[in-house]
Amino acid sequence: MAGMGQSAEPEMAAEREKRMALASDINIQQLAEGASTVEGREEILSKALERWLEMHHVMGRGFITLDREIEIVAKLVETSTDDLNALFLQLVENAQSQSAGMGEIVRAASLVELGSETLTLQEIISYLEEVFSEGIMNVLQLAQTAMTLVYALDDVVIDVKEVVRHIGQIEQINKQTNLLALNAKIEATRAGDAGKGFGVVADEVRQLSKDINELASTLRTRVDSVHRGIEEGHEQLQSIASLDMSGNLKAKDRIEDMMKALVTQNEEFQDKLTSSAELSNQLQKDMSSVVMRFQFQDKTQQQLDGVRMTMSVLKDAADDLSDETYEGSGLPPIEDDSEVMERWIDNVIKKCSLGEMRERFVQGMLLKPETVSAVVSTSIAAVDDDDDVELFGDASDDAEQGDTGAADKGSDDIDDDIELFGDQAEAGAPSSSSAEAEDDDEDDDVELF
Amino acid sequence: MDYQIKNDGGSAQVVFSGDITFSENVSFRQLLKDISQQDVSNCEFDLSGVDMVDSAGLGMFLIAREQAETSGWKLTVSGAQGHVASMLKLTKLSDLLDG
Repeated sequence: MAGMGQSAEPEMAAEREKRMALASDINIQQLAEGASTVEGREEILSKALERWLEMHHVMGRGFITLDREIEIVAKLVETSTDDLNALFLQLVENAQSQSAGMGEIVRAASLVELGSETLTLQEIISYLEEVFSEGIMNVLQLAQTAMTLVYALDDVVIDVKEVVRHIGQIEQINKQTNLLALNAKIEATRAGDAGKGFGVVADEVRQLSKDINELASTLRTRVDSVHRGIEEGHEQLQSIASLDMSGNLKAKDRIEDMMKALVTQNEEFQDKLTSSAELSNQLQKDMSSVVMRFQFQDKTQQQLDGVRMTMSVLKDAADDLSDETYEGSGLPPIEDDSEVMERWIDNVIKKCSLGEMRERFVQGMLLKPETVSAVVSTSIAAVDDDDDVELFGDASDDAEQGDTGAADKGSDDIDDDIELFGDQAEAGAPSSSSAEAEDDDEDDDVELF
Repeated sequence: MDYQIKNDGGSAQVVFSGDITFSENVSFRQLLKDISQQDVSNCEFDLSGVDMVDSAGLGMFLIAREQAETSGWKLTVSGAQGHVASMLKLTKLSDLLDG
């Protein structure tokens, strides 16, 4: 990021100057001195060609290292996208499970299990209302029956009173009968012997009258007892019939209120569930939209492939030119990094702020990575702290793989070059035929895309 | 409980006042006898002046209804308010005796 923006311009200018100074290692002094002779000019040209071949060598390795980096980046984007995709799909699934769980809770809250029977809240309410109503109707029925009995007893009381009145009449008649018998006895006594028989009859009638009187008295006692019994029954019926039903009224109102509250609560549950389901659906749509956006990865992949392709074409062109240079100049193949090459590479490596990437550049760009120059070592130590910016733990794995790959490459550079960029062996050394190189290039294109 | 019978030809109206409880059973029975003697086809119990009715009172209404059915006249209630209206609704008598 430090290289971005206007503030970086002076820095870039300094860099340019440095590069020019590097290039001038050809030694301007010598160039100035030797330019006057043919031998001198040839030597300068030979030096320049040597530098060009060195530069081509370094650039070739740079292209390979960059190609590998691009591959790593593409892989990172791909795996990260896959991971995010899976995470979002899991989120959608969890949201759906949560919604289903809530639905189950609401369903369970609105149902009551009674053995093998399952009752809805409405059914329970209806049942309770029915039972309560039945109870009230029973009370009412009882009151009606009690009042009917009361009226029947009232009628009995009237009859009893009539019986009592009749008993009074019997007693009155009996009293007169007794008096008549007494008179008859007096008259029989006065008649003497002639009236003796009549006197016996009079005695019998008096005895009869006495018996009737006792019977009437017993009857009166019994009827009085019946009357008292009826009155007691009357009182009992009053206690049965006279219920203040205000309590029932309040109870009914309270039950109704409770049932309404239950129904309302259930409806609220249902509403909450509905909105939760809607949210879940919306979430699902949003997630699908997010997953769709992840298709940027395909485009990124294509763009990176395009960059790799461009790099490949540029490298092939440089390789061809290098081959021609070797052929024309007869210069020996480069077998070790010269001082200039190491400084170029140092400059590249120093620019890498990401530790693992820097490691890969060290391994990828130096012919002998174990001989990392003092300049690079210093710059690595200076930027080590920046490793904190590494965001993905997995990258260390990539770095290790990169290290291993680079180590292999260090011992078997040619194989790696062939694999990635056409014939690096030919690029590194004069090729016997440029046509062969072209063939290889075609193969590489097919291999890449 | 007091009552006043207004007879408008075949239709009678009984205007009640006070409470209708068990202790009024004799008066109520007398009322039923009075109505029977008046040869009516309809009888309306105006309960707007009644403050309280207990189960015995409701039982008496049911006896009146039975007597109406037996004697061939129709009984209705009207004007019930507050506690009385609630009691009639609770026992569903308002459905049975709704004018």
